[in-house]
Amino acid sequence: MILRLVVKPQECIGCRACEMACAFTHGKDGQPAASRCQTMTVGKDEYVPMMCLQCDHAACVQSCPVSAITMNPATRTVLVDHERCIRCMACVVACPFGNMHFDPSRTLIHKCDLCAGCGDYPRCAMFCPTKCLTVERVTESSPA
Amino acid sequence: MSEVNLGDAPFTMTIDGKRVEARPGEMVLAAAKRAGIAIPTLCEHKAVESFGSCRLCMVEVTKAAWKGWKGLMTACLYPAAPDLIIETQSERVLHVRRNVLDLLLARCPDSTLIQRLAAEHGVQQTSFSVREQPDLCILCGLCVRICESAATSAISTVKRGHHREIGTPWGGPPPACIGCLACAHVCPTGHITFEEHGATRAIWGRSFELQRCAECGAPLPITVEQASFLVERQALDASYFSRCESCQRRATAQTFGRLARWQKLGLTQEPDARQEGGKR
Ligand code: SF4
Ligand code: FES
Repeated sequence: MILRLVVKPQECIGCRACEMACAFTHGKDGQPAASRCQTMTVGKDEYVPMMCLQCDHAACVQSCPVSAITMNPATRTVLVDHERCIRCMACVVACPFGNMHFDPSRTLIHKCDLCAGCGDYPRCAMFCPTKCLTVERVTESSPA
Repeated sequence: MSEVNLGDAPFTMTIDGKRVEARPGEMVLAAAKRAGIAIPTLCEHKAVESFGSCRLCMVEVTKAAWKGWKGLMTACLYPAAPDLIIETQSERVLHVRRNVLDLLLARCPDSTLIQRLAAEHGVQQTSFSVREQPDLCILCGLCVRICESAATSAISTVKRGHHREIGTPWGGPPPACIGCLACAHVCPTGHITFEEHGATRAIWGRSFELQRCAECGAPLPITVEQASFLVERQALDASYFSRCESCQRRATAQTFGRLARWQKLGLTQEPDARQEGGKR
């Protein structure tokens, strides 16, 4: 089963509940730096929550010199193998959307993994009070 | 091992009395890890092939057919095979591990990692004489192997015997180094150090300029040399390594924001982008 996180920025009210949910899911004490989701203000009352788009031919995957980033074919999620990663930062610079992050306190590259291993269901969508972040279940046969 | 064709199917073997699943081609260490059985390691890293230099991952290996014979092997280099029986906590294993740590402690008495591992195995103090002017290097060679496979082979082991160390060609600033810091990040004991101030990074006696964002001029977390290296090695366009994370994120957010604006107005299609740009 493929989970797809659908983002509709027109519904975003800039409350940053997604950031909090993410930070508490992936960080020990909800440090803002642990959030893989960032809500950007792009105009008056206009916000865009930004997180990994799980690209098919991802720039991060292509730029990694040790192939530490791969797409899980079953879930269609792009994942970093931290044990293989050499922290060279190539992916952080290569992501054309600025969605690869480096957490200096834990010296780890982090990105949105759709909560793989943390409930396997995007926590941001669970906490979004509007319809901005929703999850679609996609069956294998439907077009990507 | 070579005489048996293992195919691709997973098989089972025994580790510490537990049946664990292993896959053809993987090492005992990987199978143990997946089963949640911890074996201490220092020189193992997934980005390179195992090398077996630290000797900390020693385990006892046997098979029912071996009639009681047990071998001491490095788990990181011993291929998993059906019907293997592995012991990771036997008296003999712990004895060897203590010896290794005792020796490492004599070599690197100041390494907090070695101190901790040794203490965990009941070695509070080395029984050998401590090396004069010790540093933090355990000579595992992981840095050299990472540099070789992910970068430019800028460093290697130099000199012989007691004088053996990790170094650069003729002890000078390494000409091939691209300042990627991979060696420093993988070193288990933190022997390799670097400094970063503003847009310069210093490692191995060399100073590197950091690549700058083409938009805002802020330093990127990679060096100029590293950017050209990655462009060539990963066969990517130079534009992949030319903008900072926040400029990229801002530009993307603006694009999405613009699309959302038109959706709110009930337009399913974005009006001519050129017109939009002209209005701004
Ligand atoms: S510098 Fe670090 S990684 Fe390199 S050989 Fe010494 S201990 Fe190992
Ligand atoms: S981890 Fe196996 S010898 Fe170092």
